[in-house]
Amino acid sequence: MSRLESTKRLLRRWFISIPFFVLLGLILGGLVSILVIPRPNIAIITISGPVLNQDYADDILDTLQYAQDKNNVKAVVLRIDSPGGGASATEQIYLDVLRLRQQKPVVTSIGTMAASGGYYVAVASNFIYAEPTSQVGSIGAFVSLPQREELDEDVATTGPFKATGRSRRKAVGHLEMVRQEFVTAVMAQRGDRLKVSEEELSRAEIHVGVESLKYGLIDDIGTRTAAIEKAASLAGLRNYGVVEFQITSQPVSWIFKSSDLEALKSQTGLISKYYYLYFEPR
Amino acid sequence: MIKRIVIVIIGIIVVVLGRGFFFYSGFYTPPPTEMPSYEDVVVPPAPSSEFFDNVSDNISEEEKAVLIDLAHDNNFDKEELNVLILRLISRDLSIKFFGVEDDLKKELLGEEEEEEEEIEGEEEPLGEEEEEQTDQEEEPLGEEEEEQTDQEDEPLGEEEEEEEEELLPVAFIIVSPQVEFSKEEKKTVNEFVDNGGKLLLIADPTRNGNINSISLEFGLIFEPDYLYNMEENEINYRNIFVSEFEENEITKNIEKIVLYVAGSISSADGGIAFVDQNTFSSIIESRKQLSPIALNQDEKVMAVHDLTFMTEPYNGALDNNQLIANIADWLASPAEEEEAAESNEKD
Repeated sequence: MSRLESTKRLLRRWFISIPFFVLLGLILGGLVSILVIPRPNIAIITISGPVLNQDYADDILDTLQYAQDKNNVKAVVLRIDSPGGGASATEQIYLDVLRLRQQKPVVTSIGTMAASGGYYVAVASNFIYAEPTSQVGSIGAFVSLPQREELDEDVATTGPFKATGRSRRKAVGHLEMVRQEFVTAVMAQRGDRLKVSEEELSRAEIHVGVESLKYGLIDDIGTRTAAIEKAASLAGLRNYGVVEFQITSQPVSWIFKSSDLEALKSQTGLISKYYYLYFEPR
Repeated sequence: MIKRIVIVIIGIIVVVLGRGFFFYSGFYTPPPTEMPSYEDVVVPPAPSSEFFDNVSDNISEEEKAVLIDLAHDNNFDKEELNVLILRLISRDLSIKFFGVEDDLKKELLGEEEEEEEEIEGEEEPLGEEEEEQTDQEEEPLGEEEEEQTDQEDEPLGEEEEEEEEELLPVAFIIVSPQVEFSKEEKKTVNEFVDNGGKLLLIADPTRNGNINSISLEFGLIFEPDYLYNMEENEINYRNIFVSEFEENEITKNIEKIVLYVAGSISSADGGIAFVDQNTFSSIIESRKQLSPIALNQDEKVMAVHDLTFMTEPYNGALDNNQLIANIADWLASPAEEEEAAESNEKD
């Protein structure tokens, strides 16, 4: 009798305590999993307008860094709508996107335009989407050549190029180096996907989305939604959230006309800068 | 107790895995990322070459002058012609500049006084029958001029200063004029060339102008384009090599030159220097044999569609200096017709 009762007690204890501990495990599991596996997000970073000043470039770099550091951001979609910008600013973003790509997938979605420096940034990503009529390409750079030095008796310099930076020929030589950097970057990042030669790339032509797909400048025609889905697929996400990371500073103006070239030239002064910038024809 | 703990842990793992499977279907495998290598990014060295200006012995010691146009808002600095001017001076040619206030007819043909007198006396009829009268008056003037210069040769030799003042040019250089040549000016330049003068026309695609207002008179058209080569160039696609030449006084001893933003020239004779098959025009797509340097039919007018190659330091590239020297030789040498006439006279 006592044996039967002890068995009953044991069974009662099991049946009462096991569901309790299972439930306890599940509750604890839920709490742990929220901490260990937060809901993954896809971050959208929009680069719009010309990246001419360092402030704007720094904001973009900070946002990329934030996306890289943020644990629950598992992939990044770069939404690019840019005619390019300063060569240095563009290269900084390109290098940081490459760095980000080594940890998280980056998919570019080209809006109206990813020309020149805008495209330079795009090639660093894993996958590029453009819309059928997006403007893509303009792989090249320009520089305003240094003007002849005007000697001034009241100003002394320590070297012949202190005032001008370099000779005109050397400035053109540096421009050739900049071209090589850009073209090399496109060829290295696009690899076998590219269907055009170095000479054809160097023509700095602008292409519409459909044409750029044919040339291998982009991977597919698609919108921002397609880019988000691709980013999720590359990151191995089934369910995810989408967050937009805002860049606080904004570019001064939107599309450059070729008539603005003179204004830009005058801003460059004696020591010229290099630009990966596409000018809309008049 | 251990069993209870195991149950709790299993519960935790199940939930964590469940959440994991809910959100993730796999892991991101980064593709092999090629970070940029800048070691191969280089600028080819400037194609310089040594040059010694061997002034031809055939150049006569007779004092000659070259007139350079400055009257048509010409888009160049005098310094840009320094290299060419130096070559001309070393060939005993004196340099004269023709300004807005100067009279082209006087400077080129030495005819100002006669013209003024005629205009003063015949102002009204000239307005009505301009062409006929000028035609009638030009021929005797041409004859008179030759006679006058012949007569004046000897006394001028004694009085050097006067001779310098009246020294007529053997060549006329027009660089990138912004203002069109008038009918009268075209006529004067035509007459100058007909009389054996050489005409050098230089334009540059980077300097818009009205060079065709005078070049068309001699069957030469400066195209509104620029030439480029994406495969082989001098550090920039617009700096093109030219290595195909028609055998000529101007192209002697030249193997290869570099032109810095050159345009093409269309002419009936097709030019004397030709770009290769990989060099294209920014505008012309149908024609393949493009030429940035051309001579007119009787080889008295030369057209060059680039100024930069004549300027420092670009003149030092490849055979550019040789080309400039050849142009100077050509400007200094008498026209073939004149040479023939001179030899006939001797005979």
